[in-house]
Amino acid sequence: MLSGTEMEGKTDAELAELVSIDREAYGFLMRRYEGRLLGYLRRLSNIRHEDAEDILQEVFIKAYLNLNSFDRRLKFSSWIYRIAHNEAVSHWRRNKNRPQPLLTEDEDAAAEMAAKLSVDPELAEQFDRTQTAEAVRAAIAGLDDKYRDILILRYLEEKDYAEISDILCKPMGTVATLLNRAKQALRLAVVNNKAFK
Amino acid sequence: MTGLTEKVLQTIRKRDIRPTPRWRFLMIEGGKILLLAATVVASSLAVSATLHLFTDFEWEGGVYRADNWLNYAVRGVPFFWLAVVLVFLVAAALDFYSTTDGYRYRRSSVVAACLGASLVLGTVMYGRGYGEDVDAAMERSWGGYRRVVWSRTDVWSQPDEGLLGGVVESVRPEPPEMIVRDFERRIWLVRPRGSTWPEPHPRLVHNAVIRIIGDREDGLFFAREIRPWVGRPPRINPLYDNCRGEPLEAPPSDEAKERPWPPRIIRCGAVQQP
Repeated sequence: MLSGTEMEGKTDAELAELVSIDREAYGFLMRRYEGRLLGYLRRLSNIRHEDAEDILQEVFIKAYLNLNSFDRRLKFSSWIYRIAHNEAVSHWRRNKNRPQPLLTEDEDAAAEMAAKLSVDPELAEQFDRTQTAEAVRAAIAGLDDKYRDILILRYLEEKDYAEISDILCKPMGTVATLLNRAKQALRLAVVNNKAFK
Repeated sequence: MTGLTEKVLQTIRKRDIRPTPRWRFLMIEGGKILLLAATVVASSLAVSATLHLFTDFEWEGGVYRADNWLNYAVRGVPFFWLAVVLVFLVAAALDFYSTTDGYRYRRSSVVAACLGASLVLGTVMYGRGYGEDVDAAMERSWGGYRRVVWSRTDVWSQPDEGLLGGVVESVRPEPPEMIVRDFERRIWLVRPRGSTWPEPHPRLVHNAVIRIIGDREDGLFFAREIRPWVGRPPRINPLYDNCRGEPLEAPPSDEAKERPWPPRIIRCGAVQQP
């Protein structure tokens, strides 16, 4: 049995390997991802904190059950984000309703997204720092779900193309295309909102 | 440890949940790969049947009427098998996507790869005669098959359209007449349109397989053109072959060459007196 400090020093993949010997290792893995996944689930849809926790419990139990299917070629984070994404989609399907993402209501999340978008060379023109949060919130509310999901993964979760590809189970080329379209849709929405005002 | 993490660990301990063994995932993945391989093989067999039917169809000129060539050409395209290829290609692409790494590839690349594999394997199978076997097996197992898929044999089984194919049973030199048994085992008395057989014509001997373009009149068939059967041997009702007990490709025997006129026509299971 490894001590807590030794466990902390292990990589995700090493901890995943250890779980078969020591069940407690899974606790360390969960602790690493609890906050991030909870934030991700709430960003995807503005569900109550308690509901997000319920989904996350399911995510962790499913991940535990399927730990031996974890493909070592992937990042562990991509693998567990995929499970979280799929579980969230199943949850919306069960409830026949996908709530608006947190971004459309939460000023801080919108501001964070806007700050990241404003440094993107393709979008910088549309996002001046004074009105970005408001602009992003309004623009994002009108976007298609698939565009929102990919923007959240890219700009809030800061995943690269390969990780997004593994999370959404889409080829890299499709991820690039989707992201470009999402940016175009966002740019257009911002321009339209400005013109409307 | 946080509350959520502790709660999950407690659930795992309480329910004694254990990770699913790795071999089970490997088995599932292996099953998916096997299914993919089987689908590609099925698609390749359909490709080989398509190639067989397309190449074996009667594409020689003079067979179809000038005003009807499009209809005729359409009959020569094995749409049924093309549809089967398409269905198996879609199935193969779906099988591929269900594998662990399937999502990494674009839909167009996956379909192109499955199509490429089916074409290569299908061409090899066609070369080895599997296409013909598949065609024959379908004909045996599905009564309506020949209504959907035409072969060269069907083209030459349209005496009302002036197209008659068959095996020469017996030939009479003067006046020129011959008995031809068609691919449905029907007996025809064939005469030339003029006073002699139209030239050029293949050797008209017992067991020669021929194609005749002519006209059906009063139960007789008048030949305007006689061609040899080229390419693969015709698809003849197997009963015909068996009841004679001699292969169609066998050279005519001396006894058969000297067979008296009118011939003694043998039907399966019964002897018909002349």
